[in-house]
Amino acid sequence: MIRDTFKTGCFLRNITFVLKFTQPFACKYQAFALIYFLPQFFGLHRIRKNNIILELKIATQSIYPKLICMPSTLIKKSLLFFLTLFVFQVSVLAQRTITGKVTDADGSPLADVSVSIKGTTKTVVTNQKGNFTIEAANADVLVISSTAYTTREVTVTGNALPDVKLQLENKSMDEVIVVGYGTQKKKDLTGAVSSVKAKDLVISSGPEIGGMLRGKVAGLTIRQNSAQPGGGLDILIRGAGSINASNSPLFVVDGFPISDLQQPGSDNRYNAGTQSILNSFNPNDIESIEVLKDASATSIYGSRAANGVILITTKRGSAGALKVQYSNNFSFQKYKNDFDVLPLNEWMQVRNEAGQEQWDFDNGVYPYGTNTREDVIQNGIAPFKKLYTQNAINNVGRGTDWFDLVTRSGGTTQHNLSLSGGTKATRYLLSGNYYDQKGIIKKSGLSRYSIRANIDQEVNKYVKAGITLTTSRIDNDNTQLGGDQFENSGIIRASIQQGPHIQAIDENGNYPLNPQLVLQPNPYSLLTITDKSRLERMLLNSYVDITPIQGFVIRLKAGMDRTITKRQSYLPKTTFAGELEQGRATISNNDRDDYLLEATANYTRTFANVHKFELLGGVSQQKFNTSVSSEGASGFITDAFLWNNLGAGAIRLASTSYGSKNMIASYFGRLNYNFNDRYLLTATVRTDGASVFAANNKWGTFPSAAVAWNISQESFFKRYTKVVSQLKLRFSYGQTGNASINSNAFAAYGAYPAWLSGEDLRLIGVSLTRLENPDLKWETTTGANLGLDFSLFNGKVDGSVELFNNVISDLLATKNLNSYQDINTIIANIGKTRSRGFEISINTRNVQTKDFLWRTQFNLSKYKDNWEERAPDWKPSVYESEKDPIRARFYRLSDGILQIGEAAPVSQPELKPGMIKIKDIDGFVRDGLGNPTVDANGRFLRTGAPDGIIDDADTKLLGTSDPTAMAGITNIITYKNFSLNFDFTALFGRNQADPNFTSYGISAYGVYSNGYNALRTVKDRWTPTNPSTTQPSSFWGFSPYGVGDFFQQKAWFIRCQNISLGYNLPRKVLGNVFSAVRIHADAANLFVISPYKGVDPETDSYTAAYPYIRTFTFGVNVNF
Amino acid sequence: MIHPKDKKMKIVKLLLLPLILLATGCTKDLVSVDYGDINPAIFPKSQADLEAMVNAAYYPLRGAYGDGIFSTSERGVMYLSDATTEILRGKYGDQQTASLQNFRPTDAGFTHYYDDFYNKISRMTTTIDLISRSTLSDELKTKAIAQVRCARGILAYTLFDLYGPLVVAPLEVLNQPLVEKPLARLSNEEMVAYIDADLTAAAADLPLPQDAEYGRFNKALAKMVNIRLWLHEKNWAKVKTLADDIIAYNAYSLDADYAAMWDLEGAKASKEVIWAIPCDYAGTSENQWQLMVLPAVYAPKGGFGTITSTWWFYDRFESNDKRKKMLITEFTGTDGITYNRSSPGAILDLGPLPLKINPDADRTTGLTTVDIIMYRYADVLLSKAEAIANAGGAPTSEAMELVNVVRRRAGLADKQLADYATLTLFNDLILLERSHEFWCENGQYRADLIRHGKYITRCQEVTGSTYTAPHKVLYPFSLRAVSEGKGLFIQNPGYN
Repeated sequence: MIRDTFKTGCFLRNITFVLKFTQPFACKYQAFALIYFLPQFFGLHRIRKNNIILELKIATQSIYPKLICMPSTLIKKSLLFFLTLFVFQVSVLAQRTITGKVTDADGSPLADVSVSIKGTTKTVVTNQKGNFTIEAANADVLVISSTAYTTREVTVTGNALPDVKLQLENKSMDEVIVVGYGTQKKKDLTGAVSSVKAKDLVISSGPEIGGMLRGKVAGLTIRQNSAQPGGGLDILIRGAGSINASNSPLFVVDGFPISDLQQPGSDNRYNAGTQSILNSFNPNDIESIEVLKDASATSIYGSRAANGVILITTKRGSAGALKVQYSNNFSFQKYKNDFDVLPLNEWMQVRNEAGQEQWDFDNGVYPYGTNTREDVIQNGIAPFKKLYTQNAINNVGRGTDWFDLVTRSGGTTQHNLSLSGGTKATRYLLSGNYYDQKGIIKKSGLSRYSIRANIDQEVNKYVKAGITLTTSRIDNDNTQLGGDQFENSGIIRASIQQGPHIQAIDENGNYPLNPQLVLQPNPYSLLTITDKSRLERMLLNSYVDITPIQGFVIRLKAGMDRTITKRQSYLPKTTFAGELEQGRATISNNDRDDYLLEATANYTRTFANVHKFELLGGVSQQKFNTSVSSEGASGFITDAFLWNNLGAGAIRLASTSYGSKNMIASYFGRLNYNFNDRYLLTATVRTDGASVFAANNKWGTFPSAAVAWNISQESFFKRYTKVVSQLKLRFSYGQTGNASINSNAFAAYGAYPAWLSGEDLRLIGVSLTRLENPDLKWETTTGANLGLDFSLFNGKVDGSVELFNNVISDLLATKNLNSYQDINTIIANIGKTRSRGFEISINTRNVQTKDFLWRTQFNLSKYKDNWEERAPDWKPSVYESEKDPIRARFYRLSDGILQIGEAAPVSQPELKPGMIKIKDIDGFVRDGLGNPTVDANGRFLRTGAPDGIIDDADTKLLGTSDPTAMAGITNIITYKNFSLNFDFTALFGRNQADPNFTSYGISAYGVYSNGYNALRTVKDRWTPTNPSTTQPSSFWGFSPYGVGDFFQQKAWFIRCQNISLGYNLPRKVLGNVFSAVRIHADAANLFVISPYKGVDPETDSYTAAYPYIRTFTFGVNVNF
Repeated sequence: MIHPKDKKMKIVKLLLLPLILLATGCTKDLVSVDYGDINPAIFPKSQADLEAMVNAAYYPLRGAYGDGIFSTSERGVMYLSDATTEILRGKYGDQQTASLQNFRPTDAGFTHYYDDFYNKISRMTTTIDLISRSTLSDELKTKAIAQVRCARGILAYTLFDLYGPLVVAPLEVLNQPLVEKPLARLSNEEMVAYIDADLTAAAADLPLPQDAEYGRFNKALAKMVNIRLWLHEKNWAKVKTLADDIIAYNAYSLDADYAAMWDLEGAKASKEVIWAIPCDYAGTSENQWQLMVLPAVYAPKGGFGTITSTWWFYDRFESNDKRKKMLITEFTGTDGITYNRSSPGAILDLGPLPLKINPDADRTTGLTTVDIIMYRYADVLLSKAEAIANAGGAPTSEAMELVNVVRRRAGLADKQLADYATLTLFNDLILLERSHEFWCENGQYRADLIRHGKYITRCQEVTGSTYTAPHKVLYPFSLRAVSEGKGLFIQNPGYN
């Protein structure tokens, strides 16, 4: 079997074995073993047909020199023995050296192209001439891949392969994307679907993928409503046309519609902010995100699809050897204090001045009245005495810097490990992720542990089964956030408002309060609160696919989304609120089980080669069970128990609980018809029954149809295909529903504590809490979408344009009944709204050479949401009209600041200098007594002319709070081993007031009267000696006419969201252990271009919101 | 051996089975279960259900910032009504608007009592209907209905006093909630008759004061509120009869110690309190008076300091009047500063702190356990005195004695009839006594001032307000109430 021929070079320095095989190599596996192990002992090997030639090179410095002393025959014999052992069982082995050359389409050689044998880790790269050499057996498949080129597979036949030509990658139209209950090729799509591949995203620093989608999809509006770790997102697809029902899209993870997971309330007066719905899902596990936008794409999800659907598809294992990937990254957040508050010396100065202003204002001293200070003092009023001497101010220093005490540098740490592989029959993927973030506000943080496992198993030719398990645990450390004020102020707000004259902590360890605001917390003391929550999710999906005949697949699916959220908090005696109650511990638990049971059947068949049919039918049932409970105690002798010993609290707080069960049952079907890839038709229908609706309308049916014309497939178009390689026109029309009313349509009595007995026992009262609306049904969105997909210059530019018009009718809204009714509102279907808009997405390959690829993804979108029809008995305010924007901005018109010597407008006799003037533009129609009158519909009317009174009639529609346009641009550049990814997002046409400025930046009133701190801008306020025209006086809020639009400012912005620079280590340096190593450095939220003067145009939705922070990340990804 | 094709068919059949099962299973149990709800089909069935419905009738009459009309905050009747008189004065917010009598239809602080509570009259109407249609014993039903009618009478009177006649929806209209039907306000006569009917019926069936539980309605309360109604209408004969009825119950007497009634358990221990709203720290019913009136620096526990009394009011007490001791004129704050009239800071500049309630230093939240006293026996006596004098056109010694009884308890010397010979002088005395006796209790002093024609002039005298006008004796309705009426609902005059 093995015959050896030994050729020895210069005395044992080179020994060559030639193993001759009697039969050609056939068994790849054993050949592979040989190829793998032999090089461990021998420097080089070549394989020819039936021969393995092994050369043993012995270097003098190696351990082998000892062999030199041995008789050569002994060495030969032992080596031969070893080899014989090794190949003992090799009966049929044939491994050969294959050579080949890789070129581009024009025949130029391509270097550094990776050539690997499919199903193995064996990989070589081409040299500068494009040549490669690899040991492979007949029928092996070589995978030839390079960035920017389409990967090719070549089957080995013979020793020398013909030149392999690689085409520049342009696969967008052949891309397979996920749609509801299936997949489709992009070129066959008839609906409006956008797809984002996770590999194009910078996913290093955030805990979830939602925020990373910002600016990536036309028509998707994502606004972070809290920048805290894991903070929540407002995600909208194509605007928000619903009024009371939810506007958030349906999230479907691997086919399971998931529910939002928030921290429970704590009953400890503090708000923990919000959480993103996607926090439970490790972004590294995600393969792609598809956004279904038009009715054709969404109506297969029926009653929950009105606001679009976001499909999240996670990675699965593929056949082949074990692949191990590990990534690790660290990020760093440096807090830059954007809240510029007064230091103590400046604060004292402002306080002195504000005190005199206040005295003047209160006593009607000119210019606030007609008195002089002398008059007032003569009338017995004590003159204002300055609170601080100039000497004190000069020597006092800067006082307490509250922000410095409560903030820190934040950061994240992440480890991610995944293992995948399998055989043709069994494929698996396992991944684990640890993510930890420390927020820039002390004690705010999030850590997540998640594990994912999936297995796909082919049982036999007919049956395939699989299971996917995602488990995650999120531990939140809550700082006190939220927009509450006064005694419930969170830590950021408290830090702005607490005067710099208050000590953070005194020598006895107490946290002093501002004596004038003893109910407001010492911000530093809030750090002693312990408030933790845990969000656990286990999402289990399993399926069985049965293929009884070719083209017919039945899938049975069962899943469960089990979530448990828990919040535990303790207000210690070190805080003001905790001291009052001698400590307060609370525990809240929310428990939710959603079950999904689904069966679908899919049949695909092509007739006469041109008529391709795909038919899908299915039934589905989802159940939702929730139960919540909370308990607590106060009056603890020590803070040490936290919430762990409620029994030791002197006072037991009221415990609460609640539970509900709901269900949705559905039938759905879809027909895809494709004629010769030229004419495409999709028709879908879904019927949903929801338990929340009352008897008459439990069921709703949502049909849709779409057609597409692949113009570029037409013969008459052939001559243009050099320029326009793809051109497809699409139109869809259909309906979707919205059933999210957070309640049901049945009458109910509610029980609640209504009165106390003489012994202070709670007496329970029962009264009607909800009226039945037997006719309540789904809110229905009827949408039309016109789309055009194109690909130009052989894929250098491709993209799509969409125009849409959604009419939302039977709006689920709380309707006002006659107010004398005990329950004077009811959930009803009333009115109609409309969302219209367009979306443009363009992907370009700006430069594409063998080493360099620069891709740009650009999108621009716009929507307009308006009322179309109101409830028949709608009774608007006088300034509202039938077809206003849904999120209308109504303001009176400001007219500058009243200056000294200027007469107050006739309509505003009480206006004092330094206050904001309002324009008198209109008036109510009034009766003989002067009372505003209404028409037969109960609506007030306007005269159209100024009437010398400032009231609601002077309020005007000033547009909408929706942005006029949204845009995003992403650039992905690869050059050899480097890659650079950077993106910008933008929202245009926004206006808003800066809530921090209006609360703390204008008036010094609170500085004097309560010892509040203020932003430094108060120094620019209007005073008799500083007659500002841009900033009113401290007393602006005392104007009975309001401030109108005075504080509104432009708030469009362009944000540089991410920059990521990566470097793939060259293969040469990787050795045998690693197959790829990438290092990267990223920056997130690097800068914002905006005329807005506040902290951040996006997060400033309330006073003292958690601000956006610049984040720098460094990381490494290693593949084994 | 099974033919491969048969095998295939068998698989298909096997698979269709669960599909069919699923398809048929789906449609059946589409039932929504909300464990927080009570299904109307099973309610009311028992005595406990009945009691729960009665409790719900008490609910709007609690003190509660959000939805209890007798809240001791600026969202409650007493605070805001007294703020429109010399008893209280605020520097900002609704309380300032009240003090200057500058309220307008757009001020929700003044329109919300109607908007938020008048539909609770409807709740009581449907509750009475539900109770009377239930299958429970007549005895239970009578007892229950009496309480609900009393609640309805109190609520209707309270709103009538603030706004004038209301919209009162009849049962037929209430039974068709989905049908829009604009309603006009009742006439004054109809409104008075409506309230009187409820209070009279309630008084007939409610328990005697001696038999009633603390905090619950009794005959005397129904009659006391009816006294307020007939005072409002100046029907002196009815006032006197009702007062005599209450006196004849022989259940009440004046407490020797005025201040002790507002101790932690004072109201409960008192022989004088006709009705008090039980409150506790957890706040099913809330009393937050300390929080509202104590300044932040007050020791040992401060508050928001949202309102004070007036020095004008304080100066009109006789020097040895025990009742003014609860008007705090001097204190040393946690900041070490002593605040008083001559060195008031920004705290006592308008007037003393009206702390007519135990400071309750143990309170752990903004709430106290001191109950809210609504009506007292002293009111019966002073109302009777006023009725006697006004019915006869001149004060009598009986009337003067009734005033003096109340004055003696306050540690004051008797007034002599000779010094108050005319009705005007006697009415002025009564008004003054009423303000000194009932300040910061139920807010009815506003009605007293209005009844005696002094509401507007007093505001001008005390605050110098230029906003007040004769029409301010009624609060405005919101524009929403007007538009809902589609022309049938007429705003109170003057509010344009």
